[in-house]
Amino acid sequence: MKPELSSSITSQTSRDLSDNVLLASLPEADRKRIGASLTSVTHTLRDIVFRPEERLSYVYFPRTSIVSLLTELSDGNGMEVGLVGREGFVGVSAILGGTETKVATVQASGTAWKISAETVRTEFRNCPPFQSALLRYTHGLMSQISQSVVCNARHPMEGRLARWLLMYHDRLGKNEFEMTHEFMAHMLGVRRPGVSEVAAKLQSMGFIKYSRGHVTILDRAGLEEFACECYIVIEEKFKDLLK
Amino acid sequence: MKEFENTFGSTSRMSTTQIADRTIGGSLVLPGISDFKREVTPDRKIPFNGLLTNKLLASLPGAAFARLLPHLEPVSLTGNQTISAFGDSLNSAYFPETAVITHIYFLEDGSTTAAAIIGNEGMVGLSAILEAGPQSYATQVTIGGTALKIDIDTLKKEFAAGGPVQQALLNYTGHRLAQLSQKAVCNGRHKLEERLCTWLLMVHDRAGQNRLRLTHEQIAHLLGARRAGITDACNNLRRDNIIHYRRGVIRIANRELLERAACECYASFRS
Repeated sequence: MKPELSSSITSQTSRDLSDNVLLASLPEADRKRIGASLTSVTHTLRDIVFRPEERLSYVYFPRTSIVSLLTELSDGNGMEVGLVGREGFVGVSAILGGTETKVATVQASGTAWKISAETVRTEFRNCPPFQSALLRYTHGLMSQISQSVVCNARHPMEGRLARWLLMYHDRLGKNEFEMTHEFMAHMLGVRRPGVSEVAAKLQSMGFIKYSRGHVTILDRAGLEEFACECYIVIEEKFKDLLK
Repeated sequence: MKEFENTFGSTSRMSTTQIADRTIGGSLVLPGISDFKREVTPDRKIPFNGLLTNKLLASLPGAAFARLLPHLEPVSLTGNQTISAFGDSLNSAYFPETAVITHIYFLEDGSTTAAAIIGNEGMVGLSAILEAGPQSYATQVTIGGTALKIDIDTLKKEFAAGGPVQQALLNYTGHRLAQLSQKAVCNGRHKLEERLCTWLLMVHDRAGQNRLRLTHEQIAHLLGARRAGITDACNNLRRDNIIHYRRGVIRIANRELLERAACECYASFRS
């Protein structure tokens, strides 16, 4: 994993907040005021946004990037517990207090709005629509993680991979994408060679094409039918946010 | 079990809203396991004991606690009691004292798995505070004991006012997210016996007693495991004199050894 977050400023002028669903949901006056504190940054694949025990200085609202949340064990193994795209924000500890407990890694390059954690806390206190949007999202994230608790105890790997691919696809909106082997191994909680085996199964059923980390979604409906039930349960929570 | 499959298992792709609609209609029968009752049992009121054993409440500054106090109602909760069923919205929040309460998820195949474990460190009713809709899980009492109950709207009002109650509940939300994240990786990576030890320690920390009324079947439903696997793991722990098990009651005989047999997740849950 690369240690540095290579965010770079791409735009100072664009203040169209419609590409992050949480920001877009705010009344215009609030959107304008909060918008003035946002900077657009580029998230690059494999960038680390934060690590455990970090006290956050910044919070990110993804526009086109996707960030995964991983819980790491002391032996370096870990598992993905959540995925954040344009429906959410990265850095709930900024409003909940305390430090982060997970590793947040960019899994799809793209842009995000960056804002200081201090400003987020001030707005959270003073702006009820902003507070409400962030709380609802926090609950959505909690539901997503709870479902992973259940899913990891009960569901076979093929169904779990299908669920993560769908969740990723929903946030990306593209049929072809690169997905790192390491990310897939963390989704499934297996060693890296195991990933190809599971992906090959989904390929043999005609749902995806998979080659060296390059994924093409061929049959989205088939993948939905095949995915474990957790997909429906999780995405139901984000339905209003992901529309 | 059969009834459950007929109404639920056959429709493999039902949204939670649809499921909730069915539940409200009363037609959905959740798994026919005697441990998991569909009906919400009324809470038994008890006199105030004057001790403040819930750590979340104890962490509040005096003035904030004094505002909540007239609204807190002591109740006694019994093992296996359903506090709220799948698809319900909570009318009350609970600050457990010696009761241990669990969120239980029901899967299409009729199996169940627990996610959050809530005891004297926390509160039941976070989803209502976070403005979520009907619950996609049932809330059930795993170990009977006492709790302080409060009307959810009263607590929501206090939360909305900002200040120390809001701060305490937000901190607790962070704590809950950390617990769930650790449990997700634990379920995916760790052996059943280690997971069982971690879980027993968590229950023991929260319960006000050393005698835990738990059957193997119940534990299996909570850990998302097969009963036979739980029986094997319990037998190993019994053989090593770590736990005693008799007639549906587990007694922790050697806590130090139990901690050693648990996975690293226990340390993370405790912090």
